[in-house]
Amino acid sequence: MKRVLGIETSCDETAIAVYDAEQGVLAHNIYSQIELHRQYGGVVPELASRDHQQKIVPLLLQTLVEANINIDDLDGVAYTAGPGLIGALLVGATFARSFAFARDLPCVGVHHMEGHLFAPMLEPQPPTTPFVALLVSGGHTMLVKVLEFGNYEILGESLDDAAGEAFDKTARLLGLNYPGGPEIAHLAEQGDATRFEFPRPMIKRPGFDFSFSGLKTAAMQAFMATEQDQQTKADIACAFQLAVVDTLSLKCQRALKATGLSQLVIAGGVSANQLLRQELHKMTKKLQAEVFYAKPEFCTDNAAMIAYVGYQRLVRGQREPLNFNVTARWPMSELV
Amino acid sequence: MKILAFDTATEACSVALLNDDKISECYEEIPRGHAQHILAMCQHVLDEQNCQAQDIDTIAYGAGPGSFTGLRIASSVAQGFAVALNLPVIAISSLQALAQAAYEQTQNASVLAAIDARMEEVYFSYYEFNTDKQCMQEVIVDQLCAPELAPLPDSEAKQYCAAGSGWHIATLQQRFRNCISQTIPDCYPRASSMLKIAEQKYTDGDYLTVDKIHSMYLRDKVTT
Repeated sequence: MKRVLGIETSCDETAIAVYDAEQGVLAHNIYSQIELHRQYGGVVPELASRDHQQKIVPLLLQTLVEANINIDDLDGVAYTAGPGLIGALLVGATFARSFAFARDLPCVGVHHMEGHLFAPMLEPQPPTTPFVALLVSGGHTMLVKVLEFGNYEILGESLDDAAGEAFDKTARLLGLNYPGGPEIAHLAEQGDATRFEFPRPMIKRPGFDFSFSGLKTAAMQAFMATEQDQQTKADIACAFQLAVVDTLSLKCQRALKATGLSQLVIAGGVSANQLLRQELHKMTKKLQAEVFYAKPEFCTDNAAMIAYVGYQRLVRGQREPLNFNVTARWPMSELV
Repeated sequence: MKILAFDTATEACSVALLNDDKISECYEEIPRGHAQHILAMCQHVLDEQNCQAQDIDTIAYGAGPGSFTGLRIASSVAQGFAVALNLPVIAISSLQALAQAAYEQTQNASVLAAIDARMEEVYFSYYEFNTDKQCMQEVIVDQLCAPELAPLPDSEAKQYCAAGSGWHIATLQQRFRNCISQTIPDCYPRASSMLKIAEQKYTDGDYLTVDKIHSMYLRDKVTT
């Protein structure tokens, strides 16, 4: 087992990658459907499925060319089996399984969030297990103790909105585009951090759970009480981002102290947030710990992380029967 | 000549293998879960003929119209096989496959094929047996229409076999009552019936390269 093809179609990005055990990611491509869905204000599942089907073959052929390998050079196949949009997942899974079947290659379904969890492993200086991981995206906010590959303990998670979801909803309130994270971060640069002070939810309670729904409401109420001009929007964005980042940082600090571990991994779309990265650098430095994250293109949905996790599972001998399935809702806890 | 054919456009899920003159088929009517069954079915027909995937010369898939998810399962399998083995691919209309299945069952050379498209519409077409090609050929183009607007035949002289789930709809039955001699609403497209069509299309050079594989949804308005 040396080279694994990764296929990701869980939402609105078609992605293909080839991971090599010795050389790392040989090539990867991501085709984003954001433009297709923008006019509808969100992802239309049927259109997403149709588009995945059209893009998957050309993207695969292009990736093989860029990796400078032939189909014969692949030793295994991995695909995202969930969580995600059922129809979108089914396109990638059916293609991957059929391709592997026809070539008699081993094939595994991968949990999308396990992919994100290990995306920082693709960096030149990766973390080593055990570590604490903060998974933070549009669908998840979760602290996980990673003892080794395949052995996870969930320390805490969001009881309501994910951090990325709170970013998206607040962005919509301020009249910004989807996805909201980068838009808010950009607008916050012009903001006055002292004008508004939003709550840091659940920091006084013990444990590692999160809640972002109240923070989103606080931002909305503050916004409604003002003249809603451009400067106010920037000030709100600034205070909102600061509150999210502070909260995440505090819980990460608590998790590092409680576990006695000295490596923190952040992964998922929100891990691309620059302020979050800066704050976690400061916090971990004080604890004489280190923070790790993926390059921006591997923070969002990609197939390199799926190929990597697939490789790890295949090399451990994991095999699956022909009657495959995909799962729209698949709690990370079921992987543990 | 080895052809692997499969169809998942309707409740029926089927795979068939033509191995020179021998045919193996797996056929099941299941409400959902076609993806879970299809590769095991492929394995079964290949094993039965002592063949391997690598021995296949061409594949034929049910391209639609039908269930959107079902169409994508068939075309994803077709893409997977075609890329993996560098094979030409034959796209077959689900209505043509249905008409062929109806012909093989009834020997009626004129078939009105209709698949329930939900939302008070049907996927609809006419097919006639062609003696040169030895399979059913379309008389009109496959279409999506309301049952009360389905195109009537030019004359009422000919008597048709009405095949497919669309004929459970009373409006459609009523509209065609004078030109139907036989109704088989529980007839579905099936892979073994696709083999004859696939052979003829292969001979005619009517096949696709992998980048041209697609589904024929007919219904393209999917947002409100």
